[in-house]
Amino acid sequence: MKKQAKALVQHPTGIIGIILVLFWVSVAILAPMLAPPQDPDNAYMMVRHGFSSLPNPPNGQSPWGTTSGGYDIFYGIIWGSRTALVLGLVTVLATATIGALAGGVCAYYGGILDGVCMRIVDLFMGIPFLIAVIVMTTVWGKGMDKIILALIVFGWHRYARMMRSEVLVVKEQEFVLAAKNMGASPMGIFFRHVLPNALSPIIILMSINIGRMVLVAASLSFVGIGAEPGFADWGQMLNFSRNWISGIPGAPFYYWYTYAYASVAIFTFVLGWTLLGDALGTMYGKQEAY
Amino acid sequence: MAIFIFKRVIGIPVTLFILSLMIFSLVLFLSPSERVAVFVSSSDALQSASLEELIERYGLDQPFYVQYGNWVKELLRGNLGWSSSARMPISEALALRIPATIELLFAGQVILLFGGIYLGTLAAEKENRFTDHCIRLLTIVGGAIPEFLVGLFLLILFYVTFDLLPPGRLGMLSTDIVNAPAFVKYTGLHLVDSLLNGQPHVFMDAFSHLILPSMAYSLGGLAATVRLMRSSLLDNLSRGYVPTARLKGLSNRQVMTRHVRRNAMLPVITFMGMRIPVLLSGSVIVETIFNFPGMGMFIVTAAQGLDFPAIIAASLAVSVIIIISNLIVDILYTVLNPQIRLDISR
Amino acid sequence: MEKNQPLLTVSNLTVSFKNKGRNVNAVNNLSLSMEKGEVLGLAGESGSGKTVTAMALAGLLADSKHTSVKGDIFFNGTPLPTIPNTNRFKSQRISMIFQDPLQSLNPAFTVGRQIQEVFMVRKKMTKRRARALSLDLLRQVKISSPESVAPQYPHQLSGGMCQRIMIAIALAGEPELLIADEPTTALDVTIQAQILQLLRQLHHTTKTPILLITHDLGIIAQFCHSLAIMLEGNIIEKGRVKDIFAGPLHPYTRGLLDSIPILGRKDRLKAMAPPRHSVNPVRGCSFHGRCPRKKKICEVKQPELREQEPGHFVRCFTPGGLS
Repeated sequence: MKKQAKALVQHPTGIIGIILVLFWVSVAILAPMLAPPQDPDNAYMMVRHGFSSLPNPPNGQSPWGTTSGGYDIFYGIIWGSRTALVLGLVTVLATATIGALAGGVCAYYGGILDGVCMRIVDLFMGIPFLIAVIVMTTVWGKGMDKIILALIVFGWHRYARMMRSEVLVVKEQEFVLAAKNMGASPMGIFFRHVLPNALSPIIILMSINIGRMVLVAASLSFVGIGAEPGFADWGQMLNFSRNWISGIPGAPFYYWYTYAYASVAIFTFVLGWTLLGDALGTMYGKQEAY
Repeated sequence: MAIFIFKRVIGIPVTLFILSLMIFSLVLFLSPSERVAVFVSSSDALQSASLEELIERYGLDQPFYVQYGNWVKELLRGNLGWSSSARMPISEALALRIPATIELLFAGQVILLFGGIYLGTLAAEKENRFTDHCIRLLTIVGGAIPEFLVGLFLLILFYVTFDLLPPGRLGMLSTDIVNAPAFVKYTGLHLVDSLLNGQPHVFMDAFSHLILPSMAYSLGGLAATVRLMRSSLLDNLSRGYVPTARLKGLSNRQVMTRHVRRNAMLPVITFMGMRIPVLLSGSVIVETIFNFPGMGMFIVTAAQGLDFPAIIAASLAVSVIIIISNLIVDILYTVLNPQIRLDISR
Repeated sequence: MEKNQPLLTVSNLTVSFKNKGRNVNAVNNLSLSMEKGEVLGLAGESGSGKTVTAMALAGLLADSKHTSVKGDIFFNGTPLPTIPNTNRFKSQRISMIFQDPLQSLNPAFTVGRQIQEVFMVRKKMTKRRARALSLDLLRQVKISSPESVAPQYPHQLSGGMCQRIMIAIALAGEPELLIADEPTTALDVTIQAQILQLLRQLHHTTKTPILLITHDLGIIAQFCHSLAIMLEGNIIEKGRVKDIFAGPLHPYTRGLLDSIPILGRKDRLKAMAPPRHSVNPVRGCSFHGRCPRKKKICEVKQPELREQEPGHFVRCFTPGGLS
């Protein structure tokens, strides 16, 4: 374990990934101190400075300026990291658990169950993720909880497929056959022998998927479908900025602050988790871990 | 070959049936009044009768399978319901929007294929040299940037800063030409129709409007095709048929283009097939950014307006687009790979 | 052109591969010549440099960061460049067939098209003309229904058929030298015999010289006029086949011949010490570690290739165990 950690740190992209991930995790944890909420019960709602429909450049009151509607950009970025982190962790943990269990059980027992399961996985592979999530959230209604649910419903199959192929390999290895012959129960074998061996590719996929899930949620908010208005969410902040991108005549970058901070935040957050996953992948010798 | 295509085609109704069942089951989440809108073909019809009458007329108090049957019956008659967000029958809206998305999808796949082949070949030929490292860096960065950031960046760069490539699907002048009665809409695809109508500048206009959005949403996939093509080429260059080809007297370039590249392309084609759903997801983003009126924008507008019939019909339309484009990619693959062609038709 | 001029002269051919900063000589100062109309066998154990020599002769080894090819090759009196060169390939009259015929054909094209390509590239023929000629060639390599084989893909054909196609491709270049690199190793025994028979017939009718690379002395006995035996990148004995088989001069050749089972003989076959597996160059004779007649000098000095009997060369201090 120590050796692996060392290898990870020595990996040049891995170290960048770890720094970015640690940075955003600490921002998310320290959010109440970095940007104290006005209303602690509603901390995720962005602080507003008035209701001006024009964005305001950085000033003493709002260090990074405000978007149209008077939302404080600094506050939104800081608390948006919490939104992103919670959303990423919850969806990834849920999809990984569901997918790994489904794939593992199917591969272990094989037969018709496996056949049917893999047909379903194939079907889900062909569904455009973002469109499916949009459709689900439309039918279910707005809100972070609905988005997370939709992300889980359409995000589990990659893990199922990966777990299945891992289990099929591990299943035939000698120590597993030996355990089987010694009369170990299927569940015992699954948790003691199969799962630990199949875990590393799953962890790699989880790391990459935290970035991917946050991206999809941000895309959703970006087109104006995701979180309710005012919720601290980077995608929504970019959505607010869409009308201001072209600046004013003669000064195309007049409203730069409306999109610059949120773009950098999303990019670095996603890049961090992706690089971490890539580095883990090279470490475990799984180059194509997408 | 014909047998292979036939076998692929007969699988389609089954897939469509399962997908349509899944999509229709969405109405179970809807209230009866919302559900009625899925069946009614115009806003007038919606106001002409009371809710109870409509529920009875469309059998909405019946069991699920009866409702599904009614829905499919309406579908086959070409009645997809009334879109409140587009203010027109959904079938008409789709006829306008689907070609736009297909144009975009096609342009994106062309970038994936030819960009992947060109840059991948370049990287493989200059293996571990400066050009190769530059391309690798580009693919890592390109693969990590989300579509909407690429889109916004391109928009700022090419439209806001240089005022070169505007958003939208057509310029004002071309829009007037296209909407004029003299312009026959054979396919709805501007690229095709403009040529058939003898309007080359409309073609150029439509083409220039495709450049930015297709670039924005194929960049992530391009990173993958370049890497795939590079490693596949290097693998194929070490195969035994390469010395045979050299000895025939072919130049290095000819060995590459006639023999190696053809075999090395296969994984890229497979990837293009896998990428279709991702590209369609991306079209939601880029169509919104570039104000390009295709299926992606249609879905977003419908979702914002809680236009359930439109959402359900659009889901079905997207499924059909995916199934058909997958079929095309499969056929392309079998044309290029005789091994598969013969194995399957046997 | 002088009548007795040899077809092929190789002098001081050295091929070395760079691996992790270390140079490994696969072929070491090799000299060789071949007469017109001759079938020369090149025999030796795995790793003795047979295939590398053949690749170098055909011009397939790239002079690059990892590989260096040095030495002179004269073909019909004209020097050949040792680096891959398209102009050379286009005009060269050296064809080659390989060990694994299925791997040597492009899986994406019909075999007919792969034969036609030679005519189209080298003689700028039209497709139709090239097609007619390729069907002729298929008949020449004893394929009974060329029209039905030509539109097939390599993976639809058997290994023996694929090797016939490879021979047809080789013949399409109208070679003045055909290099066959273990052409039968990957095939079944019965097919092996058929392919050898085909090569023999082709040699008989066209008089094309053949350089046959093999580790099977039985094939050489049946097929070749003369024989060169390679060991660790060098030729250690060469001469006419019957001379060498009747009286091998090098202890290694003797060992090889003693290990061939002969029907009717009851005595035990003699085993030879296994080859060493090391890339480090050895001082002195490369065989001294395994040699039953080793002397002091063998550990220090590499013997020269000397003409011991007329037309029979050997690289040994104690040829034939005489002195």
